Amino acid sequence: MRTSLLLILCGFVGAEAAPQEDPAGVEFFEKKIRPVLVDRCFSCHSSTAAKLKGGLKLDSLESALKGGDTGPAIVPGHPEKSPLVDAVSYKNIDLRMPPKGKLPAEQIADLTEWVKRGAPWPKDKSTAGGPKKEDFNLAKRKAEHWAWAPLRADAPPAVKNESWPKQPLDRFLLAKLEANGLEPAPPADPRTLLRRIAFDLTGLPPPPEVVEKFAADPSEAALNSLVDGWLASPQFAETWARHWLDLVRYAESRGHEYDYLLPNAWHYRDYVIRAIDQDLPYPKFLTEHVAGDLLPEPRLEPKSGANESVLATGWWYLGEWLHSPVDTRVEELDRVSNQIEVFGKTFLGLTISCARCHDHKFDAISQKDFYALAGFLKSSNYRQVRFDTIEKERQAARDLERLRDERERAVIQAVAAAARPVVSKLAAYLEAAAGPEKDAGGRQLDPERLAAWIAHLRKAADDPQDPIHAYAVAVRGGNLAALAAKERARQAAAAKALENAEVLFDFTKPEPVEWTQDGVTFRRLVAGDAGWGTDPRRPLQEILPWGALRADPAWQSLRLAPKTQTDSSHRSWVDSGRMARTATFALRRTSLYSLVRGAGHAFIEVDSHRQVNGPLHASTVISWKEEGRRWVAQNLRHYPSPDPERPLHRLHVEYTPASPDFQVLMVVQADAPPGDPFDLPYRPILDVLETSPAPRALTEAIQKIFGDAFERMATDTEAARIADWIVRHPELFGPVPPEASDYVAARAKIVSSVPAESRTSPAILAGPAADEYLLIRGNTAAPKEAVPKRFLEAFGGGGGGGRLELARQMTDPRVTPLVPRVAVNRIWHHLFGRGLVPTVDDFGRMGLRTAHAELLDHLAVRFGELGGSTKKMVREIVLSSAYRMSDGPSARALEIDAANTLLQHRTPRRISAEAVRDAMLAVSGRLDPAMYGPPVPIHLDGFQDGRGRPADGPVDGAGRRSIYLSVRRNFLSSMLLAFDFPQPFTAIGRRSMSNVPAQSLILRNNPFVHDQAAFWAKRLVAENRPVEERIDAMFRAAFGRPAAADEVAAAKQLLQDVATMKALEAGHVDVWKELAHTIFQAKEFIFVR
Amino acid sequence: MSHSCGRYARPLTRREMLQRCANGFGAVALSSLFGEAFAQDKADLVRRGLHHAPRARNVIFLYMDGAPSQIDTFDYKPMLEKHHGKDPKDVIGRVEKTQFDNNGKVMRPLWPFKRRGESGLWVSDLFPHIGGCIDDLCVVRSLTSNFSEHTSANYFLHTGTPMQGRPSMGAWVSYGLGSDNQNLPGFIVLNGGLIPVGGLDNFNSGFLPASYQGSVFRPADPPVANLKRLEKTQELQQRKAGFVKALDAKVRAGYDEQFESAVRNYELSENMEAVAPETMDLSKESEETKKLYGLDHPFPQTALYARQCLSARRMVERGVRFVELTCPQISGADRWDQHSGMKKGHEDNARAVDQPIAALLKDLKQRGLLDHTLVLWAGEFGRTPFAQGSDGRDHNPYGFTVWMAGGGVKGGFAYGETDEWGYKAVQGKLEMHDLHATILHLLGVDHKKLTVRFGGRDMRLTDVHGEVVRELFA
Repeated sequence: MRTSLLLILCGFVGAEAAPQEDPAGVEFFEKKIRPVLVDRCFSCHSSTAAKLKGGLKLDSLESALKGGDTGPAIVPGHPEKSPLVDAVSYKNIDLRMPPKGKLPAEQIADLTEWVKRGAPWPKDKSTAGGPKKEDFNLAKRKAEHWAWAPLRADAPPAVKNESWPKQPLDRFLLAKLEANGLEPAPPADPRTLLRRIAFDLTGLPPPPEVVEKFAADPSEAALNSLVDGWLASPQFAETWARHWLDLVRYAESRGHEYDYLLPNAWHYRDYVIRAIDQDLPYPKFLTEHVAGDLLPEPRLEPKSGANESVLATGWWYLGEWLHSPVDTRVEELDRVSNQIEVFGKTFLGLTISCARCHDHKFDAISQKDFYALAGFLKSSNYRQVRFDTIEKERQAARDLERLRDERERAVIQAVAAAARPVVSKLAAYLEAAAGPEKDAGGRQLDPERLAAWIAHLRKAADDPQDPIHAYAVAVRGGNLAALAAKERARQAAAAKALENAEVLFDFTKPEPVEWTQDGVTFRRLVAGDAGWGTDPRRPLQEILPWGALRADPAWQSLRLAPKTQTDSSHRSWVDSGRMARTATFALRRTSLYSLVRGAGHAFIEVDSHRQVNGPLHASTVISWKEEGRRWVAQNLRHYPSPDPERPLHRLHVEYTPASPDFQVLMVVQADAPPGDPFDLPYRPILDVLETSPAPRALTEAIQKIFGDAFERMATDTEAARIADWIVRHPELFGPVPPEASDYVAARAKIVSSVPAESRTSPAILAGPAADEYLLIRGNTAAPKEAVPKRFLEAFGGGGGGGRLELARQMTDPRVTPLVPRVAVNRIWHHLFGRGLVPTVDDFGRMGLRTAHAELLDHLAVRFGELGGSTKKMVREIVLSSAYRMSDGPSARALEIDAANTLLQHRTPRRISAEAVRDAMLAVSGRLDPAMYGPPVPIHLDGFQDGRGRPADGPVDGAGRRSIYLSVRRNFLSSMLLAFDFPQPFTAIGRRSMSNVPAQSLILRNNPFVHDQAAFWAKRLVAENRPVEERIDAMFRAAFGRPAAADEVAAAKQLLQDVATMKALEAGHVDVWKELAHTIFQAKEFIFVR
Repeated sequence: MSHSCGRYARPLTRREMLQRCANGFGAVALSSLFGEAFAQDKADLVRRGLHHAPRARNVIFLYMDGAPSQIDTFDYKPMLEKHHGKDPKDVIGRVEKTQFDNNGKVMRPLWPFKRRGESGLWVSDLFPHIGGCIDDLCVVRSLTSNFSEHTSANYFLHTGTPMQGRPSMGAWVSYGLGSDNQNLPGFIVLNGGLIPVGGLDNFNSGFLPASYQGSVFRPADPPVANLKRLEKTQELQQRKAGFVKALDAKVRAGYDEQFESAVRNYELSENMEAVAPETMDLSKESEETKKLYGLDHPFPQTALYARQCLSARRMVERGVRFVELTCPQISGADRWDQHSGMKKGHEDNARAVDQPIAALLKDLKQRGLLDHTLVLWAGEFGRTPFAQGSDGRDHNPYGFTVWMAGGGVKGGFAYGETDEWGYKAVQGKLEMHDLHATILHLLGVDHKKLTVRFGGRDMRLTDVHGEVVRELFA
């Protein structure tokens, strides 16, 4: 804060010419000023500073005049304009330098005096030189680092040992080994290999019968068929989906104080499993993640027609969210940084969010790049998307549009025709209604209508909004001059209604206004358009005298499917599929006012803050029940901008209807409530009042404007107001024609083709484009220019067309070679325990280089040839000789490459947290193979406490695979955590692999482990088999190998001893349980070689 | 199923493994991974990898959850008396945004202040016992935080960043220094009942290996999860363990170092099952000691916190590197977070911790442990000098008081100043990273050198900030 305000202040101070040499002044400088600068300022503000603060150097006049990131520190001759003087004076609470303590008063006076004297400084004697830091040069950095280079499609190299390679990739690996004088390790034995493949592909131990079959026939054909089977299995999708969830920091809650629910996040998890199960090509998978909401032809679930593609976009919002940040803008930047961090690491293997505060320290990523990407998020917002029905809704909306084009004009003509018998004789009706006899007489009027007019005329005398009001007053003998004056005043007030307001969005005029919506409920109507209802007795609700965003009441029936979770916040309403939002704008006033009609809800998203809970920000949420046109006020004084030219906060408004006639006419910001600009007299009536105020003149005028209201309503507001009045008074003009009722019935039929109920899932919604500002040093209080949104400059920048365009650039390997490189490296990492680039999330200069660059590019190119198929890529690697090597280095490998970077042999690995748990379930027989669905609450031990503690779950997680256990940020499974389940805070492509006593304690004492042992024992004892055979079966199930004779003997002895200790028979299930439990504790159970 | 047929080279030793780890850790961390006990000789410690001679070996962090008020405890401001009841905008000037934005009038301290000890430092009557130890306290009156809401501020205090998923101070310290007791974790959280806002992530290991995360101990049996055997008899458990070891021994030859470590950890876990309960067992402490701490105190939260403080001493005695205590839960008082009902809330909280903390300081001193044990007393921020509503105070990160004792800091010493309102730090202003840098320095660790490569950067507890405040050192 301190620095930033200095920067801002600096920004407004213009530099003046450097003064001439002044010997007395120079002496003053040397005596009084330089020592202070050296002692108290240089540690942060000089070329010798360990860490330069605010970009400001004070070791030469030139640099002091040049100043910090935004401008000069001193203005010679003007201490009052010099931020340096302001800072040392300590008067400004936010700008106090030096920060650790105020200078003595004398030194402050000296500094002030020195600036006043024109800041004399000896020429050519900058106090410290120091080496100049190299400027950020993006092109140079790009040229110098391998990862930015185009993919190389080298032919597989020649090798000496021609019999070893099974796949082209093997040649690349072997060539490197041979060049280093190494021989690859011999192949693993069939059982070892199978256990390895089973865990890598399915996350589970191989079924014993499969192992035995393969051990008996370890042929290439048998292997191929096994691998193909496992690749096609649901377990492959579950296991590999979990790898992906690590990258997108998947969780189902938002962390922080109360760990609020992130509703329905598990649909995203299921999406990933399905995508991997169906082997969705990676470029498509990526595109759906970046812009699945924008695809012109999204992937639909074949049976239900649910939109699959949009589900992918939920990953953007899987991070942490604060619920009551004091500074929403800072919180936004933290959140967006995390989104960009995950985006960069996951897809590009780049640490882009390092460039939030400055150009990247090492990579070809500028600070502008960061803010250019942030613009994509600034142009979008979170929503819960109705993924089941959204496509059907869109189709229905298109059908409604077509119906409108085909029929609406004729229907309105029919409505006009139905009113014509009255309209054409309106003057007669009015006169008859006002006349003494009040009868139809010889005028051929409809007695029923006339009766209605008589009644209406009585009311109209008291209703100034009624177009007949002036006539009613006139026939009653009222004061028309006074009325004219009142009406003129009304007109004048309306003209001034907005004079103190800044109009942000005006939907009343025909000019384009940027807005967007979630769903199809809203339609932008212009003046003279018809507003349809759902009631066949009153099908035409209104004619709009002024344009508006109007919610179509036909969509009122949209509901959430049962059990759909909703966001916990002050918002009480569900907006999914029923929300319209404005473009993003800057706040400059204290309040926001929405001119609306009908009951509704408004939510102001300030700095993309949506988790509105707790004491602050409640004013961003408002609901109202009033039906008429009114201003809805929301006080936003919490979000002030010290400088209206550089607004800190940007926002948009979201509206949701609560009544069938809901519409938004205008949005303004102001410091005081605006008036109603549409509380207007009827101009033609007022003209009569002002020129010839007599009943006859009035009836003529009324006859005239009513007579052609429907014809002229598209171009004349007054006509539209009258047409609106006509359709709102069927009792005066006769019943609506059947054409209109048929029309709304046809509309209703289209809408009813869409199921009313839909599930929802977190997703992104593209809003009107907005760019992010470049923030100096990442400081929200120091915005510089807006950066147009685009992709990274190192990949050509450009784009700017939105996320779909971004995805297109990313999936073109000629533009973004890093995408396939990063993707295949991840696959390799999961199959070998280490990526070819070991730092799988960082291909930048700080990452580790690969020893196999050619192999990596070969795989990246091959990935493209395989159509981005993960399964095919996995297959090629698993069937390679490289993958099948046994563990243990050769003597020479140990000598020259102990870290095994060249991959001379296999490195054994502990299985993942999920695999530890799932393997126990699989071996015990408790595993429930059910796929998908809501998460199973995790079992909380007594040590997991804190705010937002969820309900406790079953100890065995209902037997479901670990991927289906709930992931609450503040309440992660302690068992999984102990085995390195990652904290979901950023992209984790490589889990740590720790080895700690807590793991042993879990295996020894955790109730889940004991329960599974008991379950297994029960099953074993039920199979009536000889003891030796049973022990052997246990070894085969747990370790993928038969039990050795001495092991069988030892196990039998254990059973005997346990039976004695427990005073039970050796065959008792409780005895076998203890043996089962020891097998879970054996290290072999959790290791794969 | 041993494949050790001589065709393979012998497995790597742990040391070889680590030395080859190209993406490895600094020398400091290395010593911890070996788990070697620290020698008493400081020169030897430096030789073994510390960056400089340490002043402290252990840390006890008394976390004051919810943020106690500085102006009602250690930061005496007579101006508040003088201007009590006035509009802060008139007398203080600019008032920053607060969490609740419901700011009332300037509010004087709710408890009288007295000069105490030989140093004559001011302490209010809220802490009579701690006040009695003032000559051992190094009071820092000028700490600042960057965040006004609990969660971010808690993460910031604990991990140096406002976000989830980063290693806690205790994790960094135990990662850097290892443990002197192989049978207990290096970082233990004694949960008095209140898990800080932000949850267990305040004690996490983040991107450090999971072994460095804070192990949460509760004042119960078992004190820590998965510690209690489920077998009916120990004999049975041991018999089973024997079989497990036999199985492991059979296959370990062919496996690498990872497997070897798992085997070693299994043995370690057996020891922990014995040692941890013994550590938490206070029955053998003298009656005098128990009374000193207040184990018999009629206010149950005092008795509870007394147990925690006494357990903390026992852990330090047994070589646990970093012990953090969380506060007890007091009904009617939401932590130290008195947005209203300040008088009662702060009094109840103080009653719970005052005597036990003073006892801890005295006990450590009397046993010669205080010399190398750094005690840190801190909340996540302070409170406003003006009221929230009529009888509370809102959050104030702009200047607040923490104190340290022992471990090489000056006793009876106050550092830094807030303005005349106790609102914002004006002299010796400390940022959170400075506090972290200083604590690491006291432990013999250069905060700039204790780094771990993660996400393309060398990560530190102090991020890219932090300056050691040497003025605090004795």
